[in-house]
Amino acid sequence: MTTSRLDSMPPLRIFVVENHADTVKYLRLYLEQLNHVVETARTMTEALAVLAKEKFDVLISDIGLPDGDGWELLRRAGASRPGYAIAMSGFGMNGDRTKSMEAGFRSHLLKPFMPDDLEDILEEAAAERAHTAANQGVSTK
Amino acid sequence: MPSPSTEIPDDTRARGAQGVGRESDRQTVEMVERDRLRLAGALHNSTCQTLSGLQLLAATLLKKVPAGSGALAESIDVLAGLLGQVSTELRGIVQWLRPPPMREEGLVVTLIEFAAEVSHAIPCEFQCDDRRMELDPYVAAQLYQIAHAAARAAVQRRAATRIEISLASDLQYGVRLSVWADANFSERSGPEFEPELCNWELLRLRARALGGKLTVDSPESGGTTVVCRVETVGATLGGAE
Repeated sequence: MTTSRLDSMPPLRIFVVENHADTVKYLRLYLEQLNHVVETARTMTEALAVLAKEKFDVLISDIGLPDGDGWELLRRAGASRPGYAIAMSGFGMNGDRTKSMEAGFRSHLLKPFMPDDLEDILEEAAAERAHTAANQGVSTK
Repeated sequence: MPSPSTEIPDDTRARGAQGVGRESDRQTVEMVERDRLRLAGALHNSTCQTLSGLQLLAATLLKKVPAGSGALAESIDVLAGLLGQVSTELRGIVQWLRPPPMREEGLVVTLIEFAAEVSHAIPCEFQCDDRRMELDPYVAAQLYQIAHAAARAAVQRRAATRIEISLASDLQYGVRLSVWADANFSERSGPEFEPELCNWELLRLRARALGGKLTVDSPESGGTTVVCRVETVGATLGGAE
């Protein structure tokens, strides 16, 4: 099997919020192949309910959701929002990107995106989580 | 009793005809606009999403390939590369059909941001003699669409190394939008096999809908300049403090 930069990385708990069935399916497959633990939701309401009960390291959310948008999701998630959030949208709109950063997303991916770009971002998220855990004296393994 | 005939001066007739023609052009632009948005939406909501999934699937397969299966891994790698290429091309087409929306701050801020975006591909400079210029929203929207299409046409040709977009206003002559590049990007200037993504006829129609005129100049000395001149109807010029 070919090796990935992330093979040596402890798995992240990733929450994917996306309403397009195929994108969710293959994103989950891809992330699980990288040994991450993946949960998914199709709507903002569903996502908020999950976030209220479970903790995640990373949120990957589409900006366009059937009952709201990714920016509103992050705002309404409040304290239960994951430490690292990634937005996805279909068009290269600078306005979207700026709005995502203002809303608290750390990155904004344009669909269709290159899987390598997502890996780069997850690598940063993992490094950040490890750094935070080290400061708190917690093991991430 | 027959009503007295009224002699309408010729220039009034001409202006009336111009107004009717402009309204007709405006309606045509709106119809084309709706169609472009419909196509962009369809491409985004179906094809772009499916391509995202395929790219992820190819990347997953690549990681699952057992060590030593060089040819298979190479094939999947080629497949992933082609999917990436198609994605980039498709995103480009969607942006042709539906440019990013204008900024609330108006045309000047939108063009500043657009020039920065273009600069990722080719150095692009935006010049404006009056950054406080406020235009009628319809005029601003059409000028933005013209600037967007012309600059992207220059980028598409790949031969250009520099693009300049300028917006100038004059109380006497109106608003002048210009897009210049140091290579020929005019209509049908590209290789035969390359699709002409810029709809030049639509650009002329947009200009006419504003009561303006679009000119494309590609002198033998090189470069191309696209200019749209519009009377300052509905424009507020910043002027002196």
